[in-house]
Amino acid sequence: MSSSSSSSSPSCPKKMITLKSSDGETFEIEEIAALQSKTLESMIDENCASTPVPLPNITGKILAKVVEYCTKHAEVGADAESLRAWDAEFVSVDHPTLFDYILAANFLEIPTLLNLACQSVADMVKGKTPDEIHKIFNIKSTFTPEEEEELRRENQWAFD
Amino acid sequence: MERSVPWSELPMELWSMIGKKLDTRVDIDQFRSVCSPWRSSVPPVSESKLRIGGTLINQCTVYLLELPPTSPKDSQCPPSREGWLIKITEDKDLSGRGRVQLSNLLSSRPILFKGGTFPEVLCTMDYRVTEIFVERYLIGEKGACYPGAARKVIMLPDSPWAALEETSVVGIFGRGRLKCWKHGDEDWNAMDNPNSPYDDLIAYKGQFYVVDRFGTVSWINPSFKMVQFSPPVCGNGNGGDWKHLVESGGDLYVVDRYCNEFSTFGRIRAGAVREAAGFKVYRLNQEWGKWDEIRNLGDVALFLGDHSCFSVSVKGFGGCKGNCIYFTEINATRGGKVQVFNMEDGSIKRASYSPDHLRILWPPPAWITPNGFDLSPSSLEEPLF
Repeated sequence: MSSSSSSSSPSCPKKMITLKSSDGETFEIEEIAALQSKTLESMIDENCASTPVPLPNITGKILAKVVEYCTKHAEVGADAESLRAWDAEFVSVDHPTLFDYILAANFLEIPTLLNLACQSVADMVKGKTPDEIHKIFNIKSTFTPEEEEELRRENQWAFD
Repeated sequence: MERSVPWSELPMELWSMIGKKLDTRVDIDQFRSVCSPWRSSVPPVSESKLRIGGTLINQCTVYLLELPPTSPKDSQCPPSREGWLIKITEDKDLSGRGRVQLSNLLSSRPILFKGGTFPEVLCTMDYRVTEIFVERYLIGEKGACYPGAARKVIMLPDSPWAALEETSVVGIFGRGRLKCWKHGDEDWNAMDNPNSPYDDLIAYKGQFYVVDRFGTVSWINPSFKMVQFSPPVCGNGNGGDWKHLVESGGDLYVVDRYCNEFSTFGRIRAGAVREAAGFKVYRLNQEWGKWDEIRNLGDVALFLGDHSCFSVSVKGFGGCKGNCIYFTEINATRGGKVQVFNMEDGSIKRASYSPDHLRILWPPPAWITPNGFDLSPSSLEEPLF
């Protein structure tokens, strides 16, 4: 099925664009799938996407998955329930991969993938104490002792 | 190994996006207590309570408290998880400090100790705190049995990020009449109730649903019109005396309560208290539009209170059994004692006579009351369990 808006003949082959990862791997993606990325969409509009698009911040391993995501989400007729299940499976990955998904989706401006990956991180935070969160994300509390005291006062249940 | 992920390199606007995906006040408070950049990336949750027609709607929250794993205090604790389910009402005192009142999980009765060493202050940053349910209802001055009282009030959207202007509210009043309110209305408005009275009201997947005495569930659309959503639970008018709506694991359930004809409590309220004899649980099979009777809840416990119905998975909680229903009697004076229906054998016991079921409610775990004061049910001002 012809997907390119600039194509006039119904028997045209699908328009593909080529993406090149930071480690030199190339990936083909249907233009219609690439439109999920606002970054790629504007490049396609300005006709800059005819040669392999270099993506120096994204490794081949991650780019392959991003292409898979965009291709899946460009499919017509997928029912919402099974797409949700597919998405849940897609983000069931280790933390380094999840982190890379976020950066890639942010750079390529893919709102659905960014939302999905950020929701996964939010789910990691739910129900945890700040100390646990420090350990999970290797983040230090940057509060001064006074601020820390203020925080504890704010987060207090004073029983009647 | 987590240390290899450079999370701190994530741009601040992404932490802001992540923080905004948290949907309970306590999760947002914990998020904002992690570090200063996270604190600035997400605004604090506003604390305003709902007011309709000039009357403040009663509000309290059910929380599950747990100790985080591998804390130094853990060495004295048993290896399995220990949880404590509590309900608190939050208010500000005259100097603006937050004060909380502990209440019975399933009614609005306050938990009052005869004395003892319950901590004056708990810092929520020290515990895993999960918000289970936000209860809203309207008692007002004349008490819970006055027709102007609403035993359940549901507000949607119920998200800390929702703007006040988007709020819609439905309440179930008196013997099962529904009223609605939208932001900007002066007071409650009656709703068209073709099948009144209704037994219960719930928010499910961001929408209002009600159930009538036949177990027919209706969806209330954004214009407050009813749309039938399910067939009745029991055909031919068979079935129990009161239907409850509860969500568990993403599915919608109806719990059908069977009551004894006459109260044997000896309370002098003719016909008012309807003592429960048993329960049947049905799950809505949305794909086929029918009800499946569920005989085993597994690790899940259902809680049917005066003003809320919710479910909790007790999987992994040491000595705590699921596959049961905690409930209070309907219309009991001053709120009833907590009882437990065991799905396995159909028995009903007061929670205080069933240690496996009382454990998650009372007394507070040792990590809350380290001085080991015996906060047994008999030390309470009134027997709640």
